[in-house]
Amino acid sequence: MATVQNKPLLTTNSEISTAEEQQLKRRKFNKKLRRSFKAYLFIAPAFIILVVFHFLPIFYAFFLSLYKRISVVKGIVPPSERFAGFYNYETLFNNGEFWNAFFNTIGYAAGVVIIGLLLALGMALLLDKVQEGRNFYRTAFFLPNVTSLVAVAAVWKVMFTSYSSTALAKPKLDHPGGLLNWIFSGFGLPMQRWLLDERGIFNLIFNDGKQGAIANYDINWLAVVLELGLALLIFGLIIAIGRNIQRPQLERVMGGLGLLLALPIVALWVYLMVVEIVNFVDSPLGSGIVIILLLGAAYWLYIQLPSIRKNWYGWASNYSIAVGIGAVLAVLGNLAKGGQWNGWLSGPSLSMFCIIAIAIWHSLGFNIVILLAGLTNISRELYEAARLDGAQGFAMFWRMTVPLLSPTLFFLLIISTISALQSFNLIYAIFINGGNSTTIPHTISVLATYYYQAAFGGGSDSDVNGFGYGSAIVIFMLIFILSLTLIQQQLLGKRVNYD
Amino acid sequence: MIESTSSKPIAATRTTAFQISSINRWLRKVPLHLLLAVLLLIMLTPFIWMIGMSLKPDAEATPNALDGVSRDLGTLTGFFWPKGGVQLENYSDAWTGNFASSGIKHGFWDAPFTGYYVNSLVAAFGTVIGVLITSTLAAFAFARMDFFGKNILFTFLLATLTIPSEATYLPNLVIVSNLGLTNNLLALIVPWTASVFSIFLLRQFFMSIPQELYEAGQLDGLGELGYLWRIALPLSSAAVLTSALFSFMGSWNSVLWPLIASPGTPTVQLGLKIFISNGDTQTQWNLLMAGSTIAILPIVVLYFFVQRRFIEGIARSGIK
Amino acid sequence: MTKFYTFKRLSALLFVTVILTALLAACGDPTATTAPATTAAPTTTAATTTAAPTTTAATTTAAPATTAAATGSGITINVAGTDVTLKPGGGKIFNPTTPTTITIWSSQRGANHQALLKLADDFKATHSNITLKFDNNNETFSYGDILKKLQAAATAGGLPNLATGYENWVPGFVDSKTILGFNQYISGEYGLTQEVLNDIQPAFLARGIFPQYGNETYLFPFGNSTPVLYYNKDLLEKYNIAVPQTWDDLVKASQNVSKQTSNATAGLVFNPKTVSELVAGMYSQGCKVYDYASKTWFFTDPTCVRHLQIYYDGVKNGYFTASDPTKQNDDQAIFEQQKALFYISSTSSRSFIDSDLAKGLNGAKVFNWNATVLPRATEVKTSVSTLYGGGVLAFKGKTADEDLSTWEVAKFLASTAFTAKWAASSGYAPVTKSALNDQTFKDFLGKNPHNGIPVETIKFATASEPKLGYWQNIRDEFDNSVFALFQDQSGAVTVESTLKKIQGVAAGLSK
Repeated sequence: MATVQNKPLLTTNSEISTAEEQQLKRRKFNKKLRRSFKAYLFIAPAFIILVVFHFLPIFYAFFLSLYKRISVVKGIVPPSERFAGFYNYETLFNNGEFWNAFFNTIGYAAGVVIIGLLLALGMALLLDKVQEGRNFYRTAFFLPNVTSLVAVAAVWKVMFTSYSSTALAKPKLDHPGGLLNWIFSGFGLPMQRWLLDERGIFNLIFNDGKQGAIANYDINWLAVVLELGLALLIFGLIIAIGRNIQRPQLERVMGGLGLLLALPIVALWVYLMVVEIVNFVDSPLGSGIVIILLLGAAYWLYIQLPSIRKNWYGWASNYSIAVGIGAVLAVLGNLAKGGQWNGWLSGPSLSMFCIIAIAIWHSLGFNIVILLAGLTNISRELYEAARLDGAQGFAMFWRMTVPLLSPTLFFLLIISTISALQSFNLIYAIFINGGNSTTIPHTISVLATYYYQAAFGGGSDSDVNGFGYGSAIVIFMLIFILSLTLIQQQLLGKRVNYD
Repeated sequence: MIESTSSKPIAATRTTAFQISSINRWLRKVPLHLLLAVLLLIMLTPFIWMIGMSLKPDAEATPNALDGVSRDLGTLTGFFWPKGGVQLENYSDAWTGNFASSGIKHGFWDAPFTGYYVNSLVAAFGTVIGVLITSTLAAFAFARMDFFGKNILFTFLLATLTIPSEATYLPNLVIVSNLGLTNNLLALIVPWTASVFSIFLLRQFFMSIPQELYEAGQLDGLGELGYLWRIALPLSSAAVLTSALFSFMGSWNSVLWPLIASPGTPTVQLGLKIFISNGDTQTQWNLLMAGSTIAILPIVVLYFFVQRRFIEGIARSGIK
Repeated sequence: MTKFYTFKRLSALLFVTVILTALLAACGDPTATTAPATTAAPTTTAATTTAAPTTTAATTTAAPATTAAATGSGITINVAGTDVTLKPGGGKIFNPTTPTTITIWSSQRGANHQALLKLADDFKATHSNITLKFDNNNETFSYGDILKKLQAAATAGGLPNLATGYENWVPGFVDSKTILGFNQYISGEYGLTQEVLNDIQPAFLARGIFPQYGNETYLFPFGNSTPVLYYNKDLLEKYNIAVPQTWDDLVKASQNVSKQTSNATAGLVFNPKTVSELVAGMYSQGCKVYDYASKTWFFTDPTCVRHLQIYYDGVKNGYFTASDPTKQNDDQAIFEQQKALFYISSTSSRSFIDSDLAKGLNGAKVFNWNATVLPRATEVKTSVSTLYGGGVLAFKGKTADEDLSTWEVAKFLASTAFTAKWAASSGYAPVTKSALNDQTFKDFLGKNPHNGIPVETIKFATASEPKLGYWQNIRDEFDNSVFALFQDQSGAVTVESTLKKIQGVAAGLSK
């Protein structure tokens, strides 16, 4: 650069400088190229393995998915008369078993990720409070994570042993089955059939498990709810727009207008809900839960009263939108009941719930350790500052801890969603490993186990089995997981607070 | 504490004040510890039952030893622990495959479990060594080197995380058999000798080492490999141990791949199957649990040896 | 300092080398560390496979439905309604000129596996150039595992020459053109002579013949068993109940005992997820289940419905009890604890019941028991049950000589010389009739009265489950639907609706 400045000003300064800069750039480029080669040498071993044994197989699986029942014994390419185009995908998307597995996978992943992360967060907050023995607890909680699921699956099967394998047989007190039923009967709760029960847990809680009580519940109020929900959604949006216009007068006018229209509908809706809940819930336990929930909601509204009074239009819009979304979801859920998957309303099956519980038990330690590290990383001074500002209790947690912990939470969310969607070993260990005759129950078949059964299952003349079909499942899984991860990144990644 | 240091009390009152405050603090923590202990007990219940069952005599070894009518403590302890004395032979019987039905007695060295163990150990250690070599090199390149396509390649790494490993089994089988590795322990090692998680973890650690150390190393004539071996790796021992244990776990606990890839070399997880269904006999629960205990033992022992570093390593993996 | 570093580097290098050598050594020869010792030398020299039997056991030739007629040129067997003729062959022994290794995937475990290894040594005496390699060194394979591995190997390579398996596996491998048909070998130069063909149990041969593939034989007999009714002799005597002959008898006996013990002891214990037991029962009720010619299913036939209804009523009224399907052989455990009078299982369970009782597993105590053929429908004269246990499937090798060697092994496994000893040590029913007169087998029968069960009952096993590739899909549907039936308390799901659903799925797959 110094040489450039020494040149006479008359000469075309810029030309020279660009030439020299280009030379410099080229030199830099060459240097980087040389360094790059070295770096490529360093990453080569890992990348060769990853490409050959992880990346290439995916392309190969896609290639195989275009063929019917295949044999490539003599080489890499299956015989051309086996080519089927997208036939396997067509069969896949028309197969009820596949959609059943797909929705089960989503339910399983949602359960493991949401419940698992909340539990881990709770435990991490507890552990954050203790100083002495923290290492011990941490080490012990992590223990399940290092053990193989095959080895502990048998133990869990025993813990979850049911009182009988058929619901037709009545439970006998001298035959409680496993530890959980023993505890349940001790507390006077009804004994369960855990891993064998394919009925939804909401059905069990609210309707004493009466067959079809929820799944076949003839809900004609759903049409009403749908319309109400849509209407509420629109009013809510009107109010929200009013709020965001930043003109206080217009805001109030629109809020008032929306509320005026929404209030009678909300009243009708609440009335319908109450009537339906009364008709719907048919067990002491279920009624108890509903009463507690309603009381809780009333209490919460009561303590929020000052805030509502201050900002009623904000509350009105938020609640309209929330109720609207809820209603739309409920209707969508019941549309799904027409298909293979019978009713989101009855919730995940009890057997699926048990599997989720075991999966959470297995992964809890990992989540706790990472969250605890995140918590200890938040500096104490920040807490002190917030405390001086008057924050405490839940507000402190919500406004301080959660945002500061968000990178860790986000990391765990991504990691555990991916691993939950791929989950195979647990269900394999519990239901297949035992012997030849066990098949995976309909309500806990997930994509990975469905793939296993379809690809390695019995020989077939019907093209429902085989590796072509299995590969199609795998490709679908991959696209699904990849896009879900991307959506998570897009939706949540931006909200994460990296400081 | 802050008050006691700022003021100047006489020695005697100071100690009592300290004692009282510490006792108070301790007392306040008691419910918390109780809660944690209960949670811990729930978490560890399966292991307690597992070990208890593995020591039960044959007559007691029934999984449903609970009676809903008698709810005394004896019933509960009987569920978890043998009443009629500990039967340690279960472990040797499990190891040598001496079932009620089999009618054959193996010695220690020709016992099936010896074979499973050797296969599993060789596969696991092979995988660990492979993973450590490939990940250290790649992690170093991503942490310290500047090269073309770094970001693209790193995204590629991220993308491989989303590939379900079950999805690769079948294509991998074709690849492995074309490489001539089937029916061979190498089939259980080679495909798993690269780990994206390990690369990430080691990269995190390498990046946290001050740049000056690297430059100083360069001045001293240390090459990249020298720097890695003498400076970077010793400073990232937690990451190395974490990667090693995770790879070990991955290899030791895998089920489906060893089953389809390598018929002649059964691993411990496959071996456990003969305890669950040994012909048409009913499951011998005490032997099954002894076998399961033996199967998880190596990992648990390894884990306890390296747990502090290991947990430190995992904890760091979550922080970007 | 430099010295120290050199030392460190050297030792690290040494360490890595040692590890690598150990790895390579372990990988290069996987059998080195894992092979169980096969020390026992064969005590008897094998009789040549061509040795024709001089006498045939008269008692066992009468097989009710599957009849074989010796026509002089081959035998005619009834396979699911149609007659199939197998032509006889030369009966020579083939010994390849170059050493050949035949790989076998077998599901035999424990003592059975050891016995198989020992008997395989007899094969060496007549076939010096064929080496048998059992890829099951540590006995971890179940039938399910073998199928998975075969499926994988059929796609990716690495198929064995022989594998033990079931008839419904065959179609997939016919599809992928990897399986070897036996017909050309049976009637070839090294095939089965007229005497040998007459000697093999016709039902066993019929099981391996596939009407839908031009009557090709794809499954060769190895060791067969059949479901039988185990009963608790002591309890039957105690409650003064006769051994049931028909299903009606069994239901009455069950109601009787559960009434007398106020539901503490049930009649029949069964695993609610075993399709095989229910299907065998349907055959015994006179239901055809499937017709190959017209591709029709009979699940909604009154005979089939009647059978499931018996189980449903039994469970609902508490005189049948369902075991826990997630625990291996839980039904057997309940029978051994004397909480049920009857238990239906394979004949090969008998030795395991004996050993379980002797060891006192699960708190079981020794009691008197026996087994008999499955009950029949009241209007039917003879009982019918299905064949259990696997046969052998052969896969194409690289050369014609290798395939011939594979055939030699299959032939050996079905020969009297082998099957008599094999049946004596494994408890399967012997493949040939002449094996019943073999001294080893006679001695075995004399040892324990229960050892006669397979021989007495196998003659009724004249049916086999549908030999269709998608039979497994139908089984899965059967499995889930029947299990759901037993869970329904409201009465919304009935026996008829369940079978209708299964029928629908089956018919859909048959199209």
